[in-house]
Amino acid sequence: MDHTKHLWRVVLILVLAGAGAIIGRHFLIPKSFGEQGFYRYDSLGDYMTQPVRHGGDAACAACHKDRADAKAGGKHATVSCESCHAPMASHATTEAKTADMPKNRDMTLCLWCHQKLRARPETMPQIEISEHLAALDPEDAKKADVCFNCHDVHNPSMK
Amino acid sequence: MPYMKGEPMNDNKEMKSDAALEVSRRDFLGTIAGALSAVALVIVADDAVYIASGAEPGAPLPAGGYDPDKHSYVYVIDITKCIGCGSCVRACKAENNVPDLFFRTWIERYMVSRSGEVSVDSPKGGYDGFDPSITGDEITKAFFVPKMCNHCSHSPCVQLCPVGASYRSPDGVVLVDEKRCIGCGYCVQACPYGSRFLNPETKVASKCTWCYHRITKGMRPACVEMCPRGVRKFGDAKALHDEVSEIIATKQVHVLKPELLTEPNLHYLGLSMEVR
Amino acid sequence: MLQESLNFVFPNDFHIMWSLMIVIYPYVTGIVAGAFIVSSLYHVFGRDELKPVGRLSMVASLAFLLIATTPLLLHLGHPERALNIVITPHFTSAMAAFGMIYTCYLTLLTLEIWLVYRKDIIMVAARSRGIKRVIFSVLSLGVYDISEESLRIDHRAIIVLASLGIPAACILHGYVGFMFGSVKANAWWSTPLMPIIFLFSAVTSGIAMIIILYQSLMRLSGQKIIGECVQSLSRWLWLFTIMTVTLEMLEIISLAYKKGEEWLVIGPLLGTKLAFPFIAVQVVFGSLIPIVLLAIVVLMKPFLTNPLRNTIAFVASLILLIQVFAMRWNVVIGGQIFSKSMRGFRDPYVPELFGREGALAAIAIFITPFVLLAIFNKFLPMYETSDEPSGGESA
Ligand code: SF4
Ligand code: SF4
Repeated sequence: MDHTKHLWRVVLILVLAGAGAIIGRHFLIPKSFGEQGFYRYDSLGDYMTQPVRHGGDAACAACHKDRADAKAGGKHATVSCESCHAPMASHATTEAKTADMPKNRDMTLCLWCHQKLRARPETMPQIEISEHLAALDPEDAKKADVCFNCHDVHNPSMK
Repeated sequence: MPYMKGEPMNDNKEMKSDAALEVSRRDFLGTIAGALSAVALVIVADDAVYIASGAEPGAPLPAGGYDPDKHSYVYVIDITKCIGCGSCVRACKAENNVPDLFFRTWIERYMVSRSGEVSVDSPKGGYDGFDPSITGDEITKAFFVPKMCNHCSHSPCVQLCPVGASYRSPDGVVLVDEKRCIGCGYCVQACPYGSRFLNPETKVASKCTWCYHRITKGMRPACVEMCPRGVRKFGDAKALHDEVSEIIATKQVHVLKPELLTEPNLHYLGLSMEVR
Repeated sequence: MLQESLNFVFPNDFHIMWSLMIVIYPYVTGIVAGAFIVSSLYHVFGRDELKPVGRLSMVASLAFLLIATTPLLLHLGHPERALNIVITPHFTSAMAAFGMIYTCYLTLLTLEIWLVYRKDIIMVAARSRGIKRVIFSVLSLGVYDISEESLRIDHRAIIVLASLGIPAACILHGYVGFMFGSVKANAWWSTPLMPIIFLFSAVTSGIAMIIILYQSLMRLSGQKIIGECVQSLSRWLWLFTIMTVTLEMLEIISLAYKKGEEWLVIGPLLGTKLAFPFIAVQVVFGSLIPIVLLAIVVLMKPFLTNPLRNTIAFVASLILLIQVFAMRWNVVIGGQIFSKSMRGFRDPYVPELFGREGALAAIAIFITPFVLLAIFNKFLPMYETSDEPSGGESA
């Protein structure tokens, strides 16, 4: 009598389980997996379809040529419209305006770039705000939008 | 090896890019969906070869008009010009919906005194600027360092991802497949630069994508676009006369933690030894 | 030399991400591997004095193995995608090896236990009625052959499986160590010693767990604790504790001596944030005391009465279980305390009580294997109370 019958049954079960796992795995591998490397190639497409939010200055200029021109001629030529306002997507699509563009007139906006900081390169125009406003009427100096008294943001030499 | 690039795939790709040119951007979502459903997987023999075939031969996978194999992106940050305004940080947050508390790019401020003492800070990643009142005794050099994913050629994060959710795309961008990531956080541990985080909302790993949705449309990453001082430069090493690869080839550039041999594709001009 | 104020962490590095669950995981797999090594000492290396724990150690290993995945699942951001790790295992990732290694080891262990218990299973099937009979007949795979010849074949198969099991257990735990050791971004983890340290401390925790389980089981069932067995286990435990502690210390000493960049943070770390869990718990309380206790057991054997020796061994084992837990904690949590900026520490980590990755969940996970053991014991006793010798085991 053969006394290894139980062992062969084990082998059979293992083989079946193994085969099941291999076949099952086939159907679970996502479609484009491994096409270009060890990843799902379609994932690139997922990223590509993410909506663009910042349009860039050229996109702004399409409607606001006057502002764009003013900016282009001045010291803020390299400052993006959207970095002071807001991303284009919150204001308009390629076809139409969807909401008002915020106009931030708070001086913190200006100070992000122009506050005097030890780590800032010296070529950058910087101010110590208290010194800078010393000559002004103290009442004016308290206002958040005091910078706009003297400067035109789009072309920020003295008005 | 089951997942090697086989010959049939290469043939397909040629046709792919041609056919794809006609696909307008607006159509492309629909096209992808159509193409995907059309592409059937045929399993040949034992688990070895995948052949894509279907009603639309060579349909664009994954997107129209853009061929990742024709690009190889590079990035340069010129530290000497950075004014620490945080425009890039704010732009990145807005462009990519980065959750509070986490950053895909951030600005560090270094202040070094004559005695060699280094102090570093990065309040809210520089999102709200820097505190002018923080100074030190006799600071002899101070500068800002914008940081982000280095899109390493030999990225430990890709190497360690157990499921192939982290990968480096053919155009050299390190991305996370958000539909396959299991959220183990291994890659977050593996990145030596602190560039990754687990997104508390989606529970998957997240990181800088070099604004993949923009660059594949020929736009620049949002941080580059919004930087007022031209600190950040984005280029394509496979393009003709590329300014950025020219800088890397001819100037004295440096990468972060070079001893780890991760081979970053983000290079720095004017990096100082204090930066880690 | 640069001076550091140690107050800057990378903005994304503010919290400790790998939590208590990732501490529990290597702890549990360590016990799995360690308990298995004990069973192999008996089955393969013929340490007959370990016969009383031959079955127990195997079944205990399985019980802990069955829950080893739970802490991981609880930790994952997307547990429902956990299968991705076996669908598309990334061969360059240590973590991806998990699926493969776990499955192999589980198969091997189950098979071995099945062979050891085959005769018992058939007897139970023969004895019982109804649903129980059906279940046990299925478990016997429908073969009711308990002839001398078949049992001899089983015995040979057990030896083969047990020998295969040793490398499997080593790989199972070595890979856990490698998972940490291969993270080159982390100075505290990134050492080739890591897998070896993990392995040795795994064996330590496994033997300690068996000493505790064995003594408790015997007490509970009112049977006699066999002194020879505890003595032998203690000797092995002593050996492995000494090796573990030596390796752990060597790692620190070489870091401290080489004074690389990483020592800038690891030095202060050991002195402050890890002073309690590392120096106090892991080294002084957890290592020195058990080494001394076990030395007493081993070296002063002629002077010890049975109960005294058993008690000392029990206490030493308990402390070692704490030591190994502390070691896992110090590796997993300790390795995350400093930011990769190498310039500061993250927010301290205190496990929450409730919640998916909280302390209660951890305790529940840890209790489950004991419940499984009790259930198993109810149907297939690990210790016969009758005089009938067990089938597969008799040499
Ligand atoms: S910087 Fe970090 S996240 Fe980016 S590719 Fe390198 S290792 Fe990966
Ligand atoms: S968190 Fe996601 S991307 Fe990162 S290693 Fe884990 S599965 Fe891969």
